[in-house]
Amino acid sequence: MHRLRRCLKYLILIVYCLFSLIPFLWMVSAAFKLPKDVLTIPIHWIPETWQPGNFYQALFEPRFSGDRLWDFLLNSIFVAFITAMLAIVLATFVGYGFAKFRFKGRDGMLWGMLSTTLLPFSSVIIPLYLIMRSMGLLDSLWALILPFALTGQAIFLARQFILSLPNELIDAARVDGAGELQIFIRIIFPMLGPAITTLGIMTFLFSWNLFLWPLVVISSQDKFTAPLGLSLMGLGSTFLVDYHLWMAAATLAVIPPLLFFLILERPYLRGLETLSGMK
Amino acid sequence: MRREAKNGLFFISPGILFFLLFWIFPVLLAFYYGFTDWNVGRQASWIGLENYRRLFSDPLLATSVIASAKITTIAVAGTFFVSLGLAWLLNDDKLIGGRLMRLIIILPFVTDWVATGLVWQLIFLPNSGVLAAVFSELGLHSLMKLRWTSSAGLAPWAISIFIIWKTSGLFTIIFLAGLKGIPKQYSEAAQVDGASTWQSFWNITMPLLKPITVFVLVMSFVSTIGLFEPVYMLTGGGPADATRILPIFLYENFFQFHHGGYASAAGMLFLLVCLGFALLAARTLQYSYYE
Repeated sequence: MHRLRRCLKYLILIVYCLFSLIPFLWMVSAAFKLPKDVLTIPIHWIPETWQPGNFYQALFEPRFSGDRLWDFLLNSIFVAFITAMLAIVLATFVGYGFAKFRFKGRDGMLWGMLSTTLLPFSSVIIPLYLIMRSMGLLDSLWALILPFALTGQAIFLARQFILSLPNELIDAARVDGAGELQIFIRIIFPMLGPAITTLGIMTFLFSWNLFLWPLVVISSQDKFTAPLGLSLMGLGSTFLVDYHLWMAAATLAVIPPLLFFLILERPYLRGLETLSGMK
Repeated sequence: MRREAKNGLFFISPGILFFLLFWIFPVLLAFYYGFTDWNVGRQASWIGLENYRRLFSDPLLATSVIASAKITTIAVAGTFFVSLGLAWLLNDDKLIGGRLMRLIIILPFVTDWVATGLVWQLIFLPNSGVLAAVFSELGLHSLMKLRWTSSAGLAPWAISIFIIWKTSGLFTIIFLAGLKGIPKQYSEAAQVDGASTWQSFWNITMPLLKPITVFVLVMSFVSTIGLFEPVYMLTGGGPADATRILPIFLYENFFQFHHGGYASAAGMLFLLVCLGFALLAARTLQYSYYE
């Protein structure tokens, strides 16, 4: 009975893992195939003839008006990287203010900023578009960076971490006559290693996966991010069904975030747990 | 002002700036535009509550609310049971390969909607897609020609399956963290006293897990109702408006039809509903943020 239950447990878990994994496996396998071999019944998981050239074609063949997936990937990397850097600096700065100073209205303000995490992004997309327009940032990569450089989640993550740092260090530095900004830069920031990694990976992935926002604010193709370029690839090729190239492009677009995640998986999962209030 | 307050405000000032600039100010602006007949590219004039009056008699809005309610219900319920079940199974110290399985389960969440959406388009293709191949393998040939994304009955299910696949990993990790925080002795003691696995799960684990359960339900509701990508990637709102969810309604009115005032008003309604829900949830969630 006990053994049967254990077997059943593994069976369910393995079946779900396959469900999770199969779209990825199929994507990679299709990416290596000839167009005619992509949709076959039964599925050939191992391509009969390997076509690594598909990746080269997907990456460097100009789509639309001369822009290539390569350029879209570079844009995505730029945007996600800068957003993550800004988030690290800004969120720890603000998080320090919320964690280590007492003043009237502090908790209310923290709560206000946190409550933004409970609103779906698409519910504010029009207002945000209006503000970007009046700031003259439409069709600029900065429109993809600025609104996400400091979010309620990031502030909360940084605050939770800084709360656990001892106050004595700060007090000692004050006694020695250090300025407040100096204390943050010299003492607090260097102790934030784990929090910084967590903030970095979470912001990077969040930014990379944005789609609706770039779709709305970016109109020139040379500023497309990878998801934006990919989506038009799918919609644009109704007649020319080059599924093998879709899959090669999708594989390439998934690699940078996935690689980043696999390297920084622990800080990322710790961040998720902090956000859910479990740590 | 006290020195500590001054310093504290100095540090949180970027937060206040971002909050005002990217939340408060835009929302006020859209609130104003909601009372005008502004069409993008033209002058706006004040028309009072006209937009809101029109919204309540707009059949497309009603369709969107129904589509959103349907997809959100299926996807949130599915995500909830899948992630709770997986977390419960994974919460076992003796499990072989548990870490690898956790990693695999969260992969869909860390990848983007568009790349995975392209794959799911091909999975759902009738007759020749991946799902059709699976049905063929199982001998269920009549199921092969199901038009997952192009029949009004199945499209909401197809989109929900995509959402469940994509987001369950996140909530599994959160549930798992919650379950690990519950001392094993409780359920062990109950089982020594003769309780079945199901009884100890229902009477001991679930009550202790309640805060996390609320968190997961709220977060998955909020994130699902605002999703635009899965519909955009799989059906584009069709067939016959069966998946024309609220975010699609907003997007089309503003960015395609350029009805700035009307879309702003609709956005305000959407925001108000979400805000109401968020405030309600906030009361239940407060504990976890202030610990």
